[in-house]
Amino acid sequence: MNFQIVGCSHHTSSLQLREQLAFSPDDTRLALRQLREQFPQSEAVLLSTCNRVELYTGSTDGELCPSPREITEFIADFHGLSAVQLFTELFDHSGEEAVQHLFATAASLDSMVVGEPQILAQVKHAYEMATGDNCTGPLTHGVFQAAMRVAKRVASETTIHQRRTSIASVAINDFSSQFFDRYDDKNILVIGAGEIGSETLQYLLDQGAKDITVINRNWDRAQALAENIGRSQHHRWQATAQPWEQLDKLLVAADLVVSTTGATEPIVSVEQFEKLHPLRHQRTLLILDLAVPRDFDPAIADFLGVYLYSIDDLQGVCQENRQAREREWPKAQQIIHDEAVRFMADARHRSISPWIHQLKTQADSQKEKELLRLFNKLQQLDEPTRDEIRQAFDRLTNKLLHPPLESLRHDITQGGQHGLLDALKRLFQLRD
Amino acid sequence: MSALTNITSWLSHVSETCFTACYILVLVLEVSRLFFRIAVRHALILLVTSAGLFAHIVWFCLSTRTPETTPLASWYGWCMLIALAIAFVYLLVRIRYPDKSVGLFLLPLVLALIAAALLFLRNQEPFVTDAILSFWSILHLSALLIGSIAATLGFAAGIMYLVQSFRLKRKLPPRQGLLLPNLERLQWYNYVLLTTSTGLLAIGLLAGIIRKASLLAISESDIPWDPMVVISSGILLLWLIITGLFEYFYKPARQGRKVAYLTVTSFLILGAVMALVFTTQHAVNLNKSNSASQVSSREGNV
Repeated sequence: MNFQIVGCSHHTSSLQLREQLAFSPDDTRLALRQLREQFPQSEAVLLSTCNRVELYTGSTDGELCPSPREITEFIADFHGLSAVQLFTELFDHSGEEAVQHLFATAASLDSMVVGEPQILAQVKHAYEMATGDNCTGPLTHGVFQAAMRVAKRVASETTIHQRRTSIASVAINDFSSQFFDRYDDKNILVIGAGEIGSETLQYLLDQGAKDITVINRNWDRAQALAENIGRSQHHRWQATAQPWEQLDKLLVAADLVVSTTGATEPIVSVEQFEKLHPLRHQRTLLILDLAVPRDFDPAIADFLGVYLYSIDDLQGVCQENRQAREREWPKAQQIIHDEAVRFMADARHRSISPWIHQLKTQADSQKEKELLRLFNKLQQLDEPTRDEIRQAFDRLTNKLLHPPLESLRHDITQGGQHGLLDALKRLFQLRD
Repeated sequence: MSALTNITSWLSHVSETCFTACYILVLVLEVSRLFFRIAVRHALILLVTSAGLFAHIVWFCLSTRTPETTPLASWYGWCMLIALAIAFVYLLVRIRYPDKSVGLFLLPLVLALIAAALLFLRNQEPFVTDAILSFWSILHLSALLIGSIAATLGFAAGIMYLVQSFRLKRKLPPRQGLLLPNLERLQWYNYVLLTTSTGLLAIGLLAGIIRKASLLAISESDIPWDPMVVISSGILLLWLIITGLFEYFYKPARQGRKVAYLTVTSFLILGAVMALVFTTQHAVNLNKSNSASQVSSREGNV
């Protein structure tokens, strides 16, 4: 049995290389077909996401599996790149290490944003696509199904997935979600066209926000941000840029405000907000003031129905989440390790079971022949005596086979380093 | 046949203790969420709550043998029925939102209602039987009962809103084990429950007045006018009218903390009115208890 992975990820390769090696869904199907033609006995699954390109191959008969070098050459040929360059850029793992890598990837421990839930769906999709193209087999079925089970176990037994660490993700996923049930009917105002504002917008879009207004002192930058994110192909939403003079009117209409300007003084004072507050009819307003120095006067938080969070409030949770994640990390890794060891042990036991069966059948056959010969000679024996003799032969055979089989199982559990399976095959003349 | 008899015989042992114990156990499990994680807790909570509900329903079925013992026929049955409805709502919410700590707010209400029923109402006589069987009586009782359930749930939603709002105002970080529904959802629950309870309680009170007036018209009067009942019902009706007008004309009353304050206040006024009405023995079949006491005094004389 051999299971291996060749690929690259955000940990090991530049974005440029990952872009060069990326496979579109059509490319993936084509690559799998070509791989099957080139290595018909090998099973394969190709996982290609923004952050990783990984080709998993395996075979229940290790000798029929392509080598990492052959896989690297295949990837290079497919993309029209130099294989020599890729040898230093791609990583490869095999056996238990490859299984652990897949488990960690599916459980989102290897992701850029640890705990992001999309990766499990991507792994599942890659596996289903390979299965649809008849590229999977008993080994890949087993290891990918185990990976999905392990990912769910990590998610349910640790809190690692619940702990976000970036300001923008904490702002939306940890804080904003405590206010709003849905975002598609919310009026969202983004003040400032900075980087954090843009990142926060991405999280809002992921949550289904549709009605977003961007406002900035520099009208061109506001329009650029609105258009830039509006071009996103993944979201159906509408962003509009408004002139700075509309700020008060927009604050009255807003449900959620994300403010990220570089202003040195607050852009909204208490006096200014006091005039706007009655027009809001005490409707809930969440203000995420992510600017330093702050854009909103802290006293605005005292108004009824207004919830004002500054970057310091969010940073506390980010820090706490980071520490909590660090505490949970060893637990998650232990789950991955234990499951990989168990999977490999089960897989190895499954791989030797045909040989054990053959050995036992062979021994039973010899035993039956000897019994037949004996009973033909001693025909005067009554049935109880014959039963006793049969049981004695059974015990003898079992006692003779037990120690070598136990040693074999132990050796296989340890990775088969002592080659006992080969020895057994040769000693007892076992054949495929 | 004998299996059915065995099951019936076994079920006949179901008492208030069975479902009360289940609800207490579920509350303990809910409280334990604040301190540590257990993988099987959610399943255990669902199992024990379902068992409690089953026992509660069986107990009701076994108690309902005559019109006098229907759940609507006594204060005791009323309390137990409201507790059952809230426990059922809790189970549904727990299935839909397994990570939310709604049980910490609903289960104490369930247990408080059961405790009130067991401690104060158990030996109360049922309502006047004739009073239960007319259309207006059924409307009066049913609307008040469902309105009370909505008001009780609204109270829990209002408290949850105020707790969540308090936490968020003070920027307390989300705590593992004490997760509440978001403000928007709680506000919606509050609004819907306040509107429902206001409407139903008003219908219930008006149905009671119409029933009484119709009986007076034909010179029949089984339940006397009691000044305390009239005054307390009037206060409740006035409060409901004010709430309705407040909601309709004053926009902030439909959202935020104001709607939560309204639901909480509605429940408290309802509770106070119910307590007052209860002390007057309103609708209770006093003849039965009088005759029972006369019998016991006669036995004592003998």
